[in-house]
Amino acid sequence: MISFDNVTYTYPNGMGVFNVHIRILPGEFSFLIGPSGAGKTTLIKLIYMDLFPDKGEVHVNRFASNKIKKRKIPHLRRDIGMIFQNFNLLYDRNLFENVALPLHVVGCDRKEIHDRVMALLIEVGLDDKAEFFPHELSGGEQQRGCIARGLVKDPDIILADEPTGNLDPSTAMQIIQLLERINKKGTAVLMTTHNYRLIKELGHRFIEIKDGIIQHQ
Amino acid sequence: MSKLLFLFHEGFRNVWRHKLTAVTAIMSVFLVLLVIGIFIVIQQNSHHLIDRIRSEYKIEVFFENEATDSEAQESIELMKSLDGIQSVKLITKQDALNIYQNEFGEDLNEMLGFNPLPASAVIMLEKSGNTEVNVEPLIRELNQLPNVGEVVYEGTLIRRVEYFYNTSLRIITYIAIGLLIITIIVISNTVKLSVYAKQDLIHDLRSIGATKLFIKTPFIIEGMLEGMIGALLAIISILLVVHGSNAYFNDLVTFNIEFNLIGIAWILIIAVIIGFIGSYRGIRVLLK
Ligand SMILES: Nc1ncnc2c1ncn2[C@@H]1O[C@H](COP(=O)(O)OP(=O)(O)OP(=O)(O)O)[C@@H](O)[C@H]1O
Ligand SMILES: [Mg+2]
Repeated sequence: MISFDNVTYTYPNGMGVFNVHIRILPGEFSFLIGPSGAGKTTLIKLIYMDLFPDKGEVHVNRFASNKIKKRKIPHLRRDIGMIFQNFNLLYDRNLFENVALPLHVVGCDRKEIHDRVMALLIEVGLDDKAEFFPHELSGGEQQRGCIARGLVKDPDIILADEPTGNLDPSTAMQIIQLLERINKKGTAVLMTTHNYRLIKELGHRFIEIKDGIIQHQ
Repeated sequence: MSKLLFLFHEGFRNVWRHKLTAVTAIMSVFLVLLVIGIFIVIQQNSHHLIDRIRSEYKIEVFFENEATDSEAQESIELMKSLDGIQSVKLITKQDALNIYQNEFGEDLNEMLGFNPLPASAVIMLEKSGNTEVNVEPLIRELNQLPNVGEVVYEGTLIRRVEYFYNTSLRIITYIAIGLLIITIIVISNTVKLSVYAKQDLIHDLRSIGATKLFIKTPFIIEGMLEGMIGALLAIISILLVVHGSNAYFNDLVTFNIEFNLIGIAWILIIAVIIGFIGSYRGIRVLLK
């Protein structure tokens, strides 16, 4: 599903990720763990091809980083559910419209959008807050909204970059449990975090990165 | 279809979110199109005036004294084939005599025992719309025709009027182009602001697989919408002014000022074009 073959990406300042080998299988639940600045977001960006390797190849589904045409990148991204580290919900529209955004991009019709969005809001337990604007939601609710948005297109993989970053431990745990539930239905999940304590008990695969180098997987 | 609806909704939302800058942009489009609209009205109506002045542009050709009416008629046939001539009227020796008698009350033929007046021709020039009338070459050709004695025309008047008319049109065009450029810059700046304010949306759209076109369209709609609103305001104002002054000056002038569909269409077309170019310049920051 996702594979890194000897991938190196260097930022102009010399930071980056180096000689990375990773293989992620369909339906797998993995954590990408490492301290701040280790290169987790960099790896995520290499997956959705916001960055391209200086060396090596990244394969995601049928797309290869060294062959993909620029105008095919949107297609690659439509199969991925993204949950971002910094960018949360858009503040200029309500929760429903936020979750609906990926469906507008692919041009679904109104009814389809409504059914799909409501089904996911039920899934993440926010169906009664569909009309709420992000500033009217708690941090945990916003993050669940983001997950709903990541899932709305029924992707085969979810990339969750630090989805628990700003949440208290129990809310963070709820988010992880939500991702686990989604994973049980067959969606692969790759979640980054720097909070080792949060995940060590969970028994999922974890890939550890430090200073851009994979330490353990 | 629902995609398009979404994009339009986003475009309208952009305008609404940046009401103040949008109002600035709309006002500047409005003012510029108002000025341009007035230019269009002037341009569309100045032919009333210029045509009246040009009707004074008649050329009189006096034939040689010994030329007979039929020889004069032959030369007139030749004149009719020249460029720029609308009509030629023969004034026979007898006609000339009658005119003289009407004006001065004396019968020259009786007084002198012969008719001293030559036959002549009155030439009306073609009205050439907005293009400059230049009579000098025509005069030269007329002088070369057989039996032509003297050609009389208002050279200085023609030159002055034509020079003034053409210079005014040119200056108006330059001013209009200058104003259009300013408006394009204003629109592109509002759109740019809106693009900067929407960095998070753009980032999200990119990473969920929206195409560039999809991301850009709302901003283009935003700019075109501002252009169109400005244009509508300008059209309404011009219609009001034109109707008002037609009612007011009804007794003073013989013609009505026209502001027709062609004028309206021009303003709308200009609005769409500056809206498009303006917003396209504005979203260049997005082209990475
Ligand atoms: N655009 C950039 N230009 C230059 N250096 C960058 C850029 N983005 C990241 N880096 C550097 O690359 C290294 C890895 O960054 P990355 O964002 O992948 O870290 P991370 O593991 O996601 O950290 P965090 O847990 O804080 O999000 C960091 O040292 C960072 O300073
Ligand atoms: Mg990061």
